[in-house]
Amino acid sequence: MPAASALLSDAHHPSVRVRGVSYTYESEGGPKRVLDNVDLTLGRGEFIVLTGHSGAGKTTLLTLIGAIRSLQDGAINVLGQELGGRDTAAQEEVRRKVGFIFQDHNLFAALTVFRTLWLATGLVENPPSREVALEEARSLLAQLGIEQHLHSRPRQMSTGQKQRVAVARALINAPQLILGDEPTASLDQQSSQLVIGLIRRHLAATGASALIVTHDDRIFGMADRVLRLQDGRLLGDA
Amino acid sequence: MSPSIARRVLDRFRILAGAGRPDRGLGLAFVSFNRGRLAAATGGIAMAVLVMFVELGLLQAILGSQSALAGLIDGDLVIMNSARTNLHEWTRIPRIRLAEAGAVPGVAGAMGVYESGMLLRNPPERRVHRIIAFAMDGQTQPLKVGDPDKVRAALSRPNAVLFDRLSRDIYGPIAPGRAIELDGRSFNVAGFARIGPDIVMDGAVVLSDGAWLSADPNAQPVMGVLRLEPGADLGAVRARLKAALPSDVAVMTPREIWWREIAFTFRSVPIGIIFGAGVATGAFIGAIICYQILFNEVVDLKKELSTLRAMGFGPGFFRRLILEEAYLLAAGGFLIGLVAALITYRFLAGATGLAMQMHAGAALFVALATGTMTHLGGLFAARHLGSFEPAELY
Repeated sequence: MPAASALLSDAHHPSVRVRGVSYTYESEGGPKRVLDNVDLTLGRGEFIVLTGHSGAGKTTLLTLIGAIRSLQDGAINVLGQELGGRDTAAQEEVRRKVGFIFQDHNLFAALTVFRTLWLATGLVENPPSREVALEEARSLLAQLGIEQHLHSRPRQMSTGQKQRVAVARALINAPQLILGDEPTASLDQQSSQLVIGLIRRHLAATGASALIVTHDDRIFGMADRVLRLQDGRLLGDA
Repeated sequence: MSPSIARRVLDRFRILAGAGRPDRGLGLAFVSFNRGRLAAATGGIAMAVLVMFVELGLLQAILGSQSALAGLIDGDLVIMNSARTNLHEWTRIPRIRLAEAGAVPGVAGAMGVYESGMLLRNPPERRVHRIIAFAMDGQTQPLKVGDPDKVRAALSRPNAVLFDRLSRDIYGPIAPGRAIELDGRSFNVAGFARIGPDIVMDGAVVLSDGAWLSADPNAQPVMGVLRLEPGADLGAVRARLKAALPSDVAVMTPREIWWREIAFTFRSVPIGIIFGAGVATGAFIGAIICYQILFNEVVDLKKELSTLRAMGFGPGFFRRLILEEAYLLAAGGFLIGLVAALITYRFLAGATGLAMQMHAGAALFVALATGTMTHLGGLFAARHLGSFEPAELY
């Protein structure tokens, strides 16, 4: 059992701490700096929306925080783990604790919705049994309004419904951190609210945090903070 | 085994195989989803399996037919000319050697076997065909060519001949009671023998040694088949025979002759290399097909698989997934290839007269080769997953 002081320290530790992060892409036209000395703190239970024009560096920052891309300069601490200098296996370990929602759902055409969600539970150390996972999947899909598609395959669903499955896939392991890249881009107003509402309920229930990159101003009002990235610099509340 | 123990054993296997884990058993879903690709993959692997089976089947049939005569010998020891390197070379021994061998203590009897090529004419046809003729004593029958009583009765008749019912059908219709000509002499078909053709010989007839010697009183046997007295020590008798007979005579057991025949066929005609290369080619083709199919699958699912990588699934998961698919394709391809091979064997046996038979050893070998080739194809395909960069999703 962890010591009380450790728990206290963990509770006060932010989910994400970004310090002095810069990132440069090598391109034919020469190096292009997309992030310039960025600092960001995402507190426990906090919901931040990160916006900015295309090419501002939002997605690059998201992938750095998600341990999908390796750091060049600066430091990032995610869920208490420093990301700098970590090997692939260690990066995978961090990623397993994060719920990712990608812009494209990228669901396997061969798998049913339930099989997709059950597969995602394989990321945790002690995955739930099929029966437990089935109940969890049913509950999540009901909250997203697509319970009837539990055993459907992607081709039987609309784009918006598939995106909601991708959201359920990100939440099924009750992650401590949710990272989303335009998760509501393909959703109508009602579906967007369902998705963001579910994420908010998840944060409230678990103390998890969320960082959502989006252009969708319909969800700005549901965030705790809205930050803007411009030319690689974080400008503060938008 | 009681049902509860069986269930526990089954459960143990299921746990070891990872059954019930959410990240296992996906191979079947992926393999069966795209029916066209599944058909192409299993068809391609089945073709590779068929190639391996046909190569192995022909190799076994050729070796079997070339050594079949050794299997017909009904005796404990055989004396042959020591210069004779294989059964299809008719270097003979003087007939006196039979008497000399028969006089050695422990030998109950020494029976000569005569063999030569003859020209057979089936009178309704004008053409003559070469055929192998064997001659032996119908009473003692040193070669097992059929039911002993029928053979004995048939060969006791004057000018009688037994026709090998496994002969290729180039000789026309031949049945008991029909008159045929062998080297211009008239014989009556008194019944059938079972010998079987090989890659050189199309058919065979069996005569009595009396008929053979009446045509050529100076004929010499190609081998002498010796039967020992009950209780005689084979090694001791063999040693006595070697001491008693001149050095131009070799003394061997039928089993040794069989092995020597197999070795000679491998050596003189490099069929081991020829058919081995065929089997290897089949396995190589199968591996390439499996790799190509799985590689296409990996490329087609690049975004989905990259998403799983981004979520934290490691290399082991992807390797297992691809290998699961590879093994399923191997199983499907093997079963279809096996059925196709059985049909092809039937056809080839009818067309060539060779004994094409499916042996458990060959089936096991091809099953292992199929598993190996698909495993390698799967591993190479899985290597491409390592080049996928999940950051490319953004």
